[in-house]
Amino acid sequence: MNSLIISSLITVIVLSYIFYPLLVDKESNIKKTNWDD
Amino acid sequence: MGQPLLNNIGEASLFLSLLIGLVGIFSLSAGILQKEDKFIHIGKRCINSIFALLTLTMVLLLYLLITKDYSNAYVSKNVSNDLSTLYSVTALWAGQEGSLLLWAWIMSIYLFIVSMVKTRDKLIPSTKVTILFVLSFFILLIVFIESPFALSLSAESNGRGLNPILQNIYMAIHPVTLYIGYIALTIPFAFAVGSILSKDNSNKWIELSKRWTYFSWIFLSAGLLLGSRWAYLELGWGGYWAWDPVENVALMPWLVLTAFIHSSMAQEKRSLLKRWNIFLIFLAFFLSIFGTFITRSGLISSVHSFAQSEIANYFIVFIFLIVIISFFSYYKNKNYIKSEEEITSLVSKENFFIFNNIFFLVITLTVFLGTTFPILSEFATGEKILVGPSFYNLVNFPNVLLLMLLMSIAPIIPWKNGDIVISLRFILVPLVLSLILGITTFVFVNEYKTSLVVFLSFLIITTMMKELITDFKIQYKNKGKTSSMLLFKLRRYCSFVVHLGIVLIVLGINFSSVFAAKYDISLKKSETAIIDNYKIELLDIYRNENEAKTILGAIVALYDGKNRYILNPEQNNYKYEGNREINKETEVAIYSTFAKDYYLILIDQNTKGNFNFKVYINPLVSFLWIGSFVSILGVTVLLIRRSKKYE
Repeated sequence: MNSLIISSLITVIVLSYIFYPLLVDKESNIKKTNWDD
Repeated sequence: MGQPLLNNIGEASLFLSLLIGLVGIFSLSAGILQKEDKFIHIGKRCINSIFALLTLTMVLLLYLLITKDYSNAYVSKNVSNDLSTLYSVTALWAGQEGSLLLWAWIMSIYLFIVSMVKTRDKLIPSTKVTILFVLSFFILLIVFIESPFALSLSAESNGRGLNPILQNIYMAIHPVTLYIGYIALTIPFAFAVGSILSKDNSNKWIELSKRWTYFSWIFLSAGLLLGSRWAYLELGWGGYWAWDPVENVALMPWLVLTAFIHSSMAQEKRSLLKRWNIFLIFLAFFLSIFGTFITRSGLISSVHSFAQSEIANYFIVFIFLIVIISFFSYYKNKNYIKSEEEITSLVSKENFFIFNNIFFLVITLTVFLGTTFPILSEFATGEKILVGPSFYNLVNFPNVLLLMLLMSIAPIIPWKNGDIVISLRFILVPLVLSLILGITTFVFVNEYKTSLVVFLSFLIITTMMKELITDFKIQYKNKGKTSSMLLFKLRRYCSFVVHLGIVLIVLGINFSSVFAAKYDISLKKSETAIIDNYKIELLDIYRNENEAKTILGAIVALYDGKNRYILNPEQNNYKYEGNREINKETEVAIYSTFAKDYYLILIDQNTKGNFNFKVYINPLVSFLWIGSFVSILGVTVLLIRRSKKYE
């Protein structure tokens, strides 16, 4: 049971971290790629 | 059964990192296709998360190994109560599951570093997705085939332990050193793929790859060196290189990488050989994966284990997939990869690099054929035909000589258009001196191989010295500071150091193989034997016992002229069998001097009560270790130098 709780917690933290840019529309923090070079 | 909490967290973290790997690949690919930086940013966060999760799993596995938690199946397979903490840590890469996890973790570190680069170049996202693809394959293997967090089936109070021959400091660090070098090859490969996918015809990928190639070369070389040193100290057959398949598959990427380091300079300086460089780095990477496959699938121990090992099938699919994807992207975009100039003169540095590449590839092909021949022959005829060291030595010797010849001339040949007469005039004095030394050597030793090696070695060294002296003279005339010239030509001088190291290695290999002496002797306590110029006296015999093993040891005095060397060989018999294949282990006694190694093995006690020994007198082995160290040092300076402004 403990391992289930800890694993779920890790999953939630990691997924929140990854998808944060989609939830918060802060373009300024995102590095721009030179696509047209 | 022990506490499964940590094992479950480990399993979950691995599974999560696989999922995130797939999300990262998808997100980065979408970002590249739609030129959308938000997706690229999510990909970057996936990379950071995978690094964090794999670090967590590494910490968990290390904790389980150090605390000897036998509830974990991997721990119970590779650790035992009598094992020290150091070897409990190194047991992390003693088995398949731990090795694969270490492999994935190191790759996640590299990917994390690549992800941190400040350049906004368009090839970076494609590079990241390539590395992430390779990394996800390894995580997939760990999650579904070789999990290091599987639980033990029964409660155990002791594990099966680590093979005694692996309980050696060189073997403790050798695999991980080799892994670091092997895995680093993924990065230049990924930069090359990134360059192709982003249709970037510039030399950016070569610049970005440069330090990674040096880094990989250093660790591959160190790995090969440590492995040879381990074989020399631990295996007890008097040698350091046996052309064993495991050694060969580590050597092949090193050979191709060395060729690439040379030819990439032609692209960097003159925008030449662009397609060729991509081919070379592809080949180096494929060979590193092939090496992992050969070593990890068990293919080498028996051809039959090929079919039995489940991991082999995945590797075959992966190798095919990566080869097809790489060459398809290359073929599709090959019109974007064009050299801007052409080789115009036969006497030019770039042309000599092509010769260099050809010789390196011929050696690689020889090693590849020799390594895979037993497998191919068994598939074709049902009979496993082994290829012995004589095949490799016979075929490779002329190539090594040709490479040495290039090494002596190529450094003084200029880029673009050289003049053969000027170059020959420059090396005239070194050539005459080297010829005299070569002929003198032949008169004394009456052995043509050694004479040729001595001639070419001396030619390389004297040509380098002449170039250095010329540089210093120019510097002195111009009244400039020596240090500024050193920095200006640092890359060149580093290459001299590396070449000097290689010359020492070749001399060491030649002398220790041609002039090695081997004797079998049998002695009673206090008895003395005289063989050739050596006197050997068995001073004492002892028997000890500790918790782990029984020890039979000998104290032997070896006299060479006026010098007396005390040697202490041992035979260990491990009491606790576990899963060890070999319970008997030989502790070789070596007394190393600059000129000779005195190498003694205690074999056994015969029925008459005498003790049997093998004695090897190996000349100039020290050159091999010193030369390896010198060449690694040369490339290390290249790696850490402050770069471009001094070139």
